[in-house]
Amino acid sequence: KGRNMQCFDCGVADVTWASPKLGTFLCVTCSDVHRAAGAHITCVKNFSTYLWSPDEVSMMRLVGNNRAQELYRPSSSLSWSPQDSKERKVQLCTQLYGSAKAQATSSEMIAAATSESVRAAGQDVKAQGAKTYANPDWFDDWSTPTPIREEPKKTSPPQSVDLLGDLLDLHVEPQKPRRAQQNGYVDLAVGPMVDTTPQKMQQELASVFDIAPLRPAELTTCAMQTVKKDDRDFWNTVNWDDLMK
Amino acid sequence: MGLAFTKIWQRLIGKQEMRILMVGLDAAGKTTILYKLKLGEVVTTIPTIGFNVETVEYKNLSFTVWDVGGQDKIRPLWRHYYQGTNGLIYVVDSNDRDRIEDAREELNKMLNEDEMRDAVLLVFANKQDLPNAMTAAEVTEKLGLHNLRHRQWFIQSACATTGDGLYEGLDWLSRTLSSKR
Repeated sequence: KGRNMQCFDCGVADVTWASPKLGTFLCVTCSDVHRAAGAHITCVKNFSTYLWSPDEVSMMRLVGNNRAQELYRPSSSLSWSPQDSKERKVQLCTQLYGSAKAQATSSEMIAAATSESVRAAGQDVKAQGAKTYANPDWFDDWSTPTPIREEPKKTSPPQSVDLLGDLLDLHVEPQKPRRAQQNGYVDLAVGPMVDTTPQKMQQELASVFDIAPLRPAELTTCAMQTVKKDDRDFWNTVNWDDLMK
Repeated sequence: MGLAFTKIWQRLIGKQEMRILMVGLDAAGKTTILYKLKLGEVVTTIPTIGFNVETVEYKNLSFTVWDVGGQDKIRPLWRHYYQGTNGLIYVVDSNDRDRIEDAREELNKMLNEDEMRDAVLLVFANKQDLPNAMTAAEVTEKLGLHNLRHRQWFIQSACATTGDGLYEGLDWLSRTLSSKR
């Protein structure tokens, strides 16, 4: 219980990143370890400055830290200690996730997650708006079951990102603007929370993902996303000194 | 007259200042390269949200290198750094075959910008230490560098953690930029 709030690898309770390739939730330090291990083994994204594809969201739902424990690391509770050197962590990361078995498991889960997201999107269109794929175990420790919500009409194409939209919609009025979309990718930090304050948005995001609140730098970026209609204004409002700290 | 003299003087003994923009997809190794050049050591980085900027002295040039984060949503911010850029360093993760096409798209988008018209292009085919890394020739082909017109470019295979190739790249930059003046 509550495993998604702790970094899968080191156990630190400051989760702002995830590996959509492995389906695990991570802290920023371990995300750097994953980046160093190489894209042939794992890749990472955070929840504020990346776009997420429906497949990736589906993967996070399908795996998550509890299931990942059985899949990748059945005999130990952590991958490494937060005190280990980065070198050591990268070495352990490569061993743990670079093995043929771990890679096969990851591919298998990705295939399952992909077909699930395709199925969900297809059903969405077929059902003409009726919510058929609301799944209560979005992240294993999601406490409130996802209600099946009726919606009059949906005009979105099959490749849309309704899986996540449904989830985010739980927290807002139905009339709120739809989440930002780009080539079928979804912006987790914007979504239907466009006109809320950064603090509010942060709370929403944290509750949706059941993760720790964002770091100040990420929060700033997150906040900036809300005003990005005009990039120029955006630029002027960023406190770059603050971001560099 | 005074200005002209200053310019000649700078050319003779002073360091020319060059503005360098270093971009590339996330996790390509930009920040690691920047600090390897600046400090000569591998620093523990965190993913860059925003940018890092450092001055790197090399030969007769003083490079001001802007290292800008490459995550999906902050890539549109790159353009705010274009103005006045003399050289573009494009860092590619040679190990990331899945996203080399993305890298090509982002590069082309950038090179088509008017503000980048005169910038010379140095590509680092980074992470050569990882297994199955694409060679510089492969990266050249996948990025379509041979199709570039009216652009001075150079590709250098590199490994930021050991520093291999970094100075060879800077060498090309300094030679090319000096001769452009």
